[in-house]
Amino acid sequence: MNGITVVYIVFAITIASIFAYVFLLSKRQKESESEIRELSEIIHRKKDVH
Amino acid sequence: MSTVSPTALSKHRMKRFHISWGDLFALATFTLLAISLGMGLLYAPTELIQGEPQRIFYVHLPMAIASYIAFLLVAGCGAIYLWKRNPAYDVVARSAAELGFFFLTLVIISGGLWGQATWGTFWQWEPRLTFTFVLWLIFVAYIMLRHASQDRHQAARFGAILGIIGFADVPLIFASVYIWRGIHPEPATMPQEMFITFLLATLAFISLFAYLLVLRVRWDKTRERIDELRTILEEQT
Repeated sequence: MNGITVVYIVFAITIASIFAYVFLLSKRQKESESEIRELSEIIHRKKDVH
Repeated sequence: MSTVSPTALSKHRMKRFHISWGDLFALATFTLLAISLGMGLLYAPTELIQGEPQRIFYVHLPMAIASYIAFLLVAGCGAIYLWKRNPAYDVVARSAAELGFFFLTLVIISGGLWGQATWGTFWQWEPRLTFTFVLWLIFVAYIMLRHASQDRHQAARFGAILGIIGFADVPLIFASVYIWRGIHPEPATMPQEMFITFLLATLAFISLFAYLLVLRVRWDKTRERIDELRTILEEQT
């Protein structure tokens, strides 16, 4: 493996991992927020019924 | 057909394109990261003995420093949790543990590839690498414990103890090159261009760690809110 090639590989792995982690975190956040909205709606609906 | 007033439309647009301090911080972090990586490739001089692979240093050591800061936070917040029993410290500790593990994994991969290019081997059981592997294993155990345990308070207590034990390994990693002398070199002085690049990269990765920590803590708090709502729902039925 060429000297500079391994540098590019390491930089690419680092950048890709960082973006993948940020993507995963924002995906988890969006999923959790929509779960909160659903649960809040169910709770309000049940309160209205009672 | 319904009409929308220009003021309402402008307010809606402003809300839609609202830029928060968090967004600005993220922008500054990723800009700094891009600049420091660019400097690592183009500005910093080629090291005479190792040649081009030495440029891996500009991501390897800054990520290691970011992971040690993360583990310091795990141990510190863990200790405060054990003392005060405030769950907020546990949230920060478990978020920092995940991030520390993330950075340490990248440190091991980047170090392995650097070692392959300069020493001809991806891995060797020399003191610094062995202590780093032990630290990585401790945090694998930490994450598994946090995911497996049903009792949140018990998991927080055990996690705090494990985090403190894990952090005790960090000074050993640091001191290992002076005490046992493996293949890892002792820190040496570097030319100004190299030092500036290293400093900027370190700042970029610490800033990235802070940004990711805020995102991770926010998600954890959202999960706690979900648990609260589920409890309310269970009480209603």
